Amino acid sequence: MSITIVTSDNEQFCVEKLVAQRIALIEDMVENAGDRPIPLPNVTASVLRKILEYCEHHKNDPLPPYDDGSRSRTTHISEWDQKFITVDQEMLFEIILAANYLEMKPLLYVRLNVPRVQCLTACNAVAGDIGCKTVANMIKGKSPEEIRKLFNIVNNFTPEEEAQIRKEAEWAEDR
Amino acid sequence: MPTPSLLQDVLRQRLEAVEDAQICAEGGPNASIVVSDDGLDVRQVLTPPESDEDDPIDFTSGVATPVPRSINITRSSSPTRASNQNHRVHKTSPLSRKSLIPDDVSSISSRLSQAEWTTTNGERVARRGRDEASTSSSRDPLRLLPDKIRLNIFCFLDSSDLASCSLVSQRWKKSQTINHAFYQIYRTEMYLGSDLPVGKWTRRESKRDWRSELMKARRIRAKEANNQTSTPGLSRPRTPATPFHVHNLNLPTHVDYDGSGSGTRSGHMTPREIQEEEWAREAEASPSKHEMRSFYKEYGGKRVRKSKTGMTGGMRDRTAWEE
Repeated sequence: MSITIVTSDNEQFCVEKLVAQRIALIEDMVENAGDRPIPLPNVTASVLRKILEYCEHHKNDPLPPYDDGSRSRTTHISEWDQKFITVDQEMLFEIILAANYLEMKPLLYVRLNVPRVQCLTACNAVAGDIGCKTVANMIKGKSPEEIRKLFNIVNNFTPEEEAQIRKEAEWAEDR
Repeated sequence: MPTPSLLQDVLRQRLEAVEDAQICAEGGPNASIVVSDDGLDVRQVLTPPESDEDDPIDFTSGVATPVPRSINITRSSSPTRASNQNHRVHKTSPLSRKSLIPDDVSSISSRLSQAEWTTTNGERVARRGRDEASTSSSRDPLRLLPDKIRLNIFCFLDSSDLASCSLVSQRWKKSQTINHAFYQIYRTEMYLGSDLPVGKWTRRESKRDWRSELMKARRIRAKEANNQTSTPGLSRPRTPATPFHVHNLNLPTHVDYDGSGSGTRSGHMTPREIQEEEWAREAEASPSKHEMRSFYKEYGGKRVRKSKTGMTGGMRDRTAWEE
């Protein structure tokens, strides 16, 4: 049993049902769509390929328990996931965005009070954990100047402002 | 040039075809169709959707090599369909601007290729969002992300990283996302170890600068820790005095005061017990009663009056001595 997905750039993906079930949005759409192909207008083929790669690798993992937000601060990423997420920055953000989109639950399920929200999907793991952890790791231990360079941010502080802020920061840091 | 009725038939057929193929197409094929004279242009706009069975990629095999879909004859000039779509979308706008197509037809055309329209629109919306972000003063990719995810990212950082984040730009300094992240750190640090639910982020919280709150709280905590670790039994008059009280009142803890039984307690201690044990330890280290007495005589009770409570601390202590 496989499911056909059409991406925004009109590529078709034939996905094993077990793999597709890891994606909440697709799983919900399958129930409504029957045999018809599922359009994913917000996801490009290159991004979907990555996400499916993740789902394929993790398809036999148990679904992670529902996370009420009290997460640990560890930014450890398993070896395979680390290799998986080693992409350029633009791709990384696209993957996070797409995974966030695919994780969405249709309103229908909220209304019917179906308890499937009790578990997270693989996509949530991509967006919520691996992607965010990777971005956090990129920021970690960097100076403001390095962060600016990392994300192409223009420093729009005036020199006086910056000196002032720096002073405040020092005052705050040395307790 | 096809006659209006012929074109109408063609349109209707295609409408039906789309409704078979696409999930999100709504409505029946019985919509009234008004066609302009400019039939050819309309036809160009309304290319039928292809059947979706060609060249699927089998993901179960693990080999992900997508093959571009077969290209319609009408689009043979462009290599990919995506570019074609954009091309087509652009084509519609000058037409409608010249009002060569009546509204009905253009609405039908949009219904005909509804799925395709959503894809193109979705793509265009996404692209426009990206352009806006990149043309503004900062090309911050984090701004593309939804708040929830941004918060998620910043919650993985510790306070020093967040501090350097808020030095990045004015936007980042004002960022409520970073403020929220500070707030979460504040909560976990100040209510250590308890499994309290995640703090609610409301308007009230967002009006406080949680970074300075955190720093303030840490300073206070550090000061307290300093006061506790420094063990100058002589400089803190209350400290040696209290055990005598304890002793006189015959509280069960007086055993500790003798300096022998500090290890006899079971695991759990109330704050008072902890404090008393500490006092006992300090009393152990402190000089004898007589030495203490002479020390206080030297000061004439001045230091005692300076004690934290501010009021009659000295009086109370002196009564203790007199007993």
